[in-house]
Amino acid sequence: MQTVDIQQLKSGEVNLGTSIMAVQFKDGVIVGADSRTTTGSYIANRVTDKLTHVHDRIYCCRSGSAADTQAIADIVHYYLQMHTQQSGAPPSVNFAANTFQKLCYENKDALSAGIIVAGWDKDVGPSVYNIPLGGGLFRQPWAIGGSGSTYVYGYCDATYKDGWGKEETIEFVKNTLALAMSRDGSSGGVIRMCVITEEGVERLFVPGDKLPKFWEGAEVLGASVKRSDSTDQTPMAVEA
Amino acid sequence: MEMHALSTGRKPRVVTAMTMLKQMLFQYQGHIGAALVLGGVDATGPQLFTIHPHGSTDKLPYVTMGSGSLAAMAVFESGWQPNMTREQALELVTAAISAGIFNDLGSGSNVDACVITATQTEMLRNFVKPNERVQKERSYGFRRGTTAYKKEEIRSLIISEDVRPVREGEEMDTT
Repeated sequence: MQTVDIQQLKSGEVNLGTSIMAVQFKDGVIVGADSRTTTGSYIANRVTDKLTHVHDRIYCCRSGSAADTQAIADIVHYYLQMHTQQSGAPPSVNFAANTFQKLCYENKDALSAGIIVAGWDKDVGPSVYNIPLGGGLFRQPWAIGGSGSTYVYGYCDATYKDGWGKEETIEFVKNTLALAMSRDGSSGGVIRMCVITEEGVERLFVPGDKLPKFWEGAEVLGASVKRSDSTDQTPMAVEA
Repeated sequence: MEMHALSTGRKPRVVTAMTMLKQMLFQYQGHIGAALVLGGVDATGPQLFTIHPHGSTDKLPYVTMGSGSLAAMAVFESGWQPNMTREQALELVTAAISAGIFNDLGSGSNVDACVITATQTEMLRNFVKPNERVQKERSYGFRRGTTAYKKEEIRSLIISEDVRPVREGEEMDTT
């Protein structure tokens, strides 16, 4: 198998058909995700929390198989607790990302997990790491993932700028996820976000009826369409 | 769970049971086809989980599982409200399970319920019986002698025998 297929999940497996993202800014990182978990066409959970705590200032965004990513996150959470007890200092985001990468790469044949690791540490400040399906490890200023991410690469490329503050970054994450969720049927529900800075972690929540709105086509379908009176309309002749 | 409670010297928690179940199901990669709803009350309060065969878990205020879960969830989504009383919750659960019984081919018979509180659990086996069997309108029992037979043989299967001890022996040493 040369290419890795995202859709190749075990039959009946619970899928995080997801839109997730993480963006670095001056003082920290912002991680965000939609809240949809599906089993085939059924929404198994419409208020899922895909932003998973792995340490005080390190979170991960999970996409792919729910079972696989939960198991990985649990193992990494354990490793990071162990690391803090043994070294007496909180782990770096790099260490957390490397732990994730090792698990994802060494078990690549058995896993379908696309994970974004993000957080703040004393050595390098804010950082975002992307770990896609095969188990690669890439440090990026911003990362998007999950099935919904494919729809919004262009938006992110066109919009992202270096040196943003917290509020601008929150808006960027919120808008990107709302766009991804509106196009991707496997994503939806609410937006969950976490702002991770040196000071702590702040949780943000955007309800499903308060999502940012974009063009929805009302102008085209509304007043501008001319409707002739139905009385002078004659049905098209069709052969019996 | 019993062993865990004994070795830690603490009352067990629902998350502990959830973690043990998910780790076992994940280990078997979905080959154990168990889909579970886990509920309980512990030191941290009441909580509900669903556990899928591959080992993924969800924590929600109301949960359904199985083939009738869609019918049951439809009832929950329209009738659930926060901070319900015991009676309200039991009524809603009964309505949800009944929706499964009547609308899902894989579910049927009676409603079982279980009320778990911090102090006790109450099993309500056959809490509602909406499908009691009624007297058959017609009997298909055949009258005696309907089938003719050529031969009759009655054998005694009870074997009786006399046992006579050969000689008096010493008692076996069983100390």
